[in-house]
Amino acid sequence: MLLTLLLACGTTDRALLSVPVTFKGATADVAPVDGVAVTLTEASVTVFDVRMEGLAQTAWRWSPIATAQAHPGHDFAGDVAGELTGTWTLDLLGGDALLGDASCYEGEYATGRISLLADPVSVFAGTATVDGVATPFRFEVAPDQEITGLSFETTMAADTPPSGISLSVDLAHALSFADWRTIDADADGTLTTADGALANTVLFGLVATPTWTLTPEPS
Amino acid sequence: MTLFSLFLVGCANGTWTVNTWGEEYIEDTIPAEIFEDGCTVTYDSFEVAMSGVALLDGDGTEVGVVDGEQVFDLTAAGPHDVGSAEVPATHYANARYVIAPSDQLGGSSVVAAGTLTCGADAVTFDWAFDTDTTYACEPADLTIPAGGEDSTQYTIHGDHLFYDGLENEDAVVRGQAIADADADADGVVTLAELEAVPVATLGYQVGQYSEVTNLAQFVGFLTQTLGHVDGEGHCQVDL
Amino acid sequence: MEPADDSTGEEIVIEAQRPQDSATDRALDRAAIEALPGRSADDMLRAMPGLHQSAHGGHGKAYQYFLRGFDAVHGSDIAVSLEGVPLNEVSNVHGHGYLDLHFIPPAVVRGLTLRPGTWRADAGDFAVAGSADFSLGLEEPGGQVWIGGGTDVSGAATLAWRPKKSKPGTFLVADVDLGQGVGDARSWRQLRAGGGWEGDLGGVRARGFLLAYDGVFESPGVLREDDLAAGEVEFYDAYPAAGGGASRRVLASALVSGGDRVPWRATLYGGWRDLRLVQNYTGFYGDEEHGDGSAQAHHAALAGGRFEAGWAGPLGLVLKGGLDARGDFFRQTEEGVLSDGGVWETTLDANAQQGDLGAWIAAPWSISPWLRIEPGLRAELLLVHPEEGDPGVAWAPVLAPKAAVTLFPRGPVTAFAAYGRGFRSPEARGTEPGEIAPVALSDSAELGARAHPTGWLEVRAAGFATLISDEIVFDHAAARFLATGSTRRVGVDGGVTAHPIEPLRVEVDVTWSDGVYVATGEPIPYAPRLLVVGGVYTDDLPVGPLHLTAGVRAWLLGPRPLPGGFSSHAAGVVDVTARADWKRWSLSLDLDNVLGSQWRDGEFVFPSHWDLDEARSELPVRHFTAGAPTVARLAIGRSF
Repeated sequence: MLLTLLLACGTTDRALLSVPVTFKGATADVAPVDGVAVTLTEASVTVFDVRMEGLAQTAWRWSPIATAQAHPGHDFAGDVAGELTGTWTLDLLGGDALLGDASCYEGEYATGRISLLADPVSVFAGTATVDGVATPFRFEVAPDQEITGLSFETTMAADTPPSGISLSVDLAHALSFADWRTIDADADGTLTTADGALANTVLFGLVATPTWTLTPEPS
Repeated sequence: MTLFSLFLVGCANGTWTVNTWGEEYIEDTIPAEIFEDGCTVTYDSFEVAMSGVALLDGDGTEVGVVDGEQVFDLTAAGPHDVGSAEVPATHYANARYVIAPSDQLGGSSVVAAGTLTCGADAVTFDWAFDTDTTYACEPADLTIPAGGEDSTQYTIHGDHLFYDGLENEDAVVRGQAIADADADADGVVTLAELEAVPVATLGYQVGQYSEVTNLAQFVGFLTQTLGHVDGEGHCQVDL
Repeated sequence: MEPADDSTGEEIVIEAQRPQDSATDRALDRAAIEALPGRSADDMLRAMPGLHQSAHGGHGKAYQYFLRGFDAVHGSDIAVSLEGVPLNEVSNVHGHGYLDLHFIPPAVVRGLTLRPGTWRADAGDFAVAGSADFSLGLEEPGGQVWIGGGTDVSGAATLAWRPKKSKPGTFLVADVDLGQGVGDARSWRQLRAGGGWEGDLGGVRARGFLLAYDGVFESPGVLREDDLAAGEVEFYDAYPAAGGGASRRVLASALVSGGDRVPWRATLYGGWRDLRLVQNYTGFYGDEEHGDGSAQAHHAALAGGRFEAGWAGPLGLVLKGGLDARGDFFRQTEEGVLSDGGVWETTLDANAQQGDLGAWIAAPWSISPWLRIEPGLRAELLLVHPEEGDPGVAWAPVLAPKAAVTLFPRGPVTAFAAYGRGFRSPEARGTEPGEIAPVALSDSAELGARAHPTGWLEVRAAGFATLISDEIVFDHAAARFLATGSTRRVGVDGGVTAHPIEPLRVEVDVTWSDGVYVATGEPIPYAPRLLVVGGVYTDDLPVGPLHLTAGVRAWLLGPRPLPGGFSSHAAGVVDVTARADWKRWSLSLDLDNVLGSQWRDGEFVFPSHWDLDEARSELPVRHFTAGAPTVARLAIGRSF
């Protein structure tokens, strides 16, 4: 009985919840910038590991909240509190896809992150109608980086767990940095990353934080 | 009496002195070996408006403050005295300073002027920024003795304005994109000219700071990473 | 409970066979030690009220100590000495204040004084949460030999001898203790030998000892809770990266004492030690190519001396004072090691020296029969020479006032109030030559009382508090000191000792403590909050032709806060020891963990990655070290 008392007295703990993570399929028709209408026939990206972080503090040491060290590469997010490991090559136009069940601790969350891999390369292909003129395009880019700082403000509790987490991509934003009026420099009839600054701008848009959204679905 | 007071560690005061320094990269030159694309930079002036200098204990409470705003041109040979404060004699791991807009610097916080040379191209620049940055730093081995003194140096790294990434650990120093921004080819790169250069076209990385879209915003953001402590020591920044 | 009989007669004035300083001090004699379940000098320390230890599954590494809201790591907040010789290892590469007590042969521990708190001026470095002192000797002249084995595939043999007509401090001892352990990676082999001498030398009393130790051991490390839950590992398994180590130590001391009106005692000591530890707590989490294994080595020599004297003046005034000097000389390395033991990087290679000069004075004064005070003051000069090739020295002065007040020291109810400043020297590798070194300081106070409502019952209770204005911790990863903020630890210790029938003794101790970081209100992690210890002991109970010495000891540890909002499991264990003596023969039986509880000794929360075929998870998860399993040990002894 004393043991039961001791077990109950002062025990605080964080349950581990199982939360399904679903990629939400994107639409093929997007308008990245004024005067440009894009119809995608192919869009794929390889995503690696989805993680969610708690508030940026350590349990027993004072430190500022939500800060970054004054040097590139020293972001100071909170401890990882939720995670789904895996590698998925996603057909972004292929509808919703269940990625798996994330393990998430009870508690408060602030941010999330995913990684994009270059194996296989990411592909965006289709037709862009620019000022009334249709131009086929095919972009192949090789992202190899983590996308951090995705907003993921929620509180998870064991008695009211979220029904899921959705990962979605804003293809209009991803393609909004490309200059769709770039000249087909190699005259191969297709806009590719060999033309102009499209290699940089398409990659920039793909890895931009606002392109990706992690959303907790309410219970 | 002095010997007796020396024994009252934790019950007596000592002096915390502060200085600031731009090191060789600001006083002299940023050599080509530092630049990924072989450029060099020589500053003619590098002014920062410093304030909010304080020493904090482990609870985050200010125990010593150097009042007022001061402007330092770090191209002048340093280190430069910032001030001092009487603080309880003990060990400290948290010191703070602010680089913020000041009337003494025409409403700017950082003003940097100099010459960027990339191969045969040489352009001058004279940029003023109004970012407001609070640096919470971890000084190295700061233990204030009773009746004695120890010091902290707020080190400003002048190469940080030329990084090609805001968040990635593999960011390197580059200058060509800034030299190429001289749209009117007058040998002067202005902030307006930098504003006209989209970061997306450069292969630079902004990480999660997606509000940064042009090169002027990019360099302006990097003014929030200038501050270090005791040489290479890191500081945390509220962003 | 009888205070330890100090065999150096004139020191009665200094050590004072007198009521204790506080409600929670205790002194154990050999009989009490023999009634305590356990096999080692570390196990004897468990008699300190409120002390909990973690062995982390090994028979060779220093234990982790917890006392009064402190996680004293491997000894950073508890000062332990052997006949006054300090045992805490300064700047040991594995932990500052490292307490490796495996070198003390249990057979020759004659007494143990346990002092939670830090009220005495003669307590120096590391005496922040408490202090303890072992004394050596054999109670009975003659020899004894013991041979035994255990269900943990272990064997032990001890030979101890005290010549007839010699004093208890004259002895020879040799013992061997080795075994496989229950579960993976728990084997050990310990060899101990030593001798002591006590006698008179030209009008002064002299004693000395020399102890030598050689130990080799495996260490099972941690296991992930989710691996245990999934059935991938069993409770007493170990991952392939489990480590271990080797420890060798020699310690010698010589003490002379004398004086009638002004009793004095002088001690000189010296020693040498060699320690190597290999461990890996995270698998391949930090480095998927090389693994996270590290090897630490620490080679050290120690030399020092103590001088104490006392003077009994008029009106019951006594002045005691002393000087301490200590020098430590050490070389330490830390290397990254592959799973096959190969070294792939060196992260630390330091050669440093550390010195400690202390002076103290105390004035125990029985103002009246019902009031006794003992103000004291200790001054310390800590010196560190951290960098080979740079003559600069880091230094720090410390002033530590102490005070104890006792009301009605000989009455049926005695009240105590005490205050003390404790301190801990800096770790060498965080100091800078030519600069003042950071010293951890604490202020502690205790209020308590002891009562003897009847001749066979003692009741005691004390409330204690320790305040630290800015808790300085050494971050081994960053190799620098951090000021983590002000902390407050408060608690209550209560206990009962009853002798309902001689020689039966029943004891219960309950300690509750609460430690928080004042600014954030966050609990100080790992430190126990509730510890309940109970035991029934008998010493030399005649049962027919036999004499029985036995003890049953049970402890219950409540959940402890872990970082990140987690909490440890509660744990409880019952241990039994029994020895029957018949003429010159003895039979002893020890039952550890009689109830067979699978208890978690250490619990931690962090991410790890052990299987390279699986994805690397960054989720912090529970890890644990398994507590000692059920073991039965039988030994036969004969005296001659």
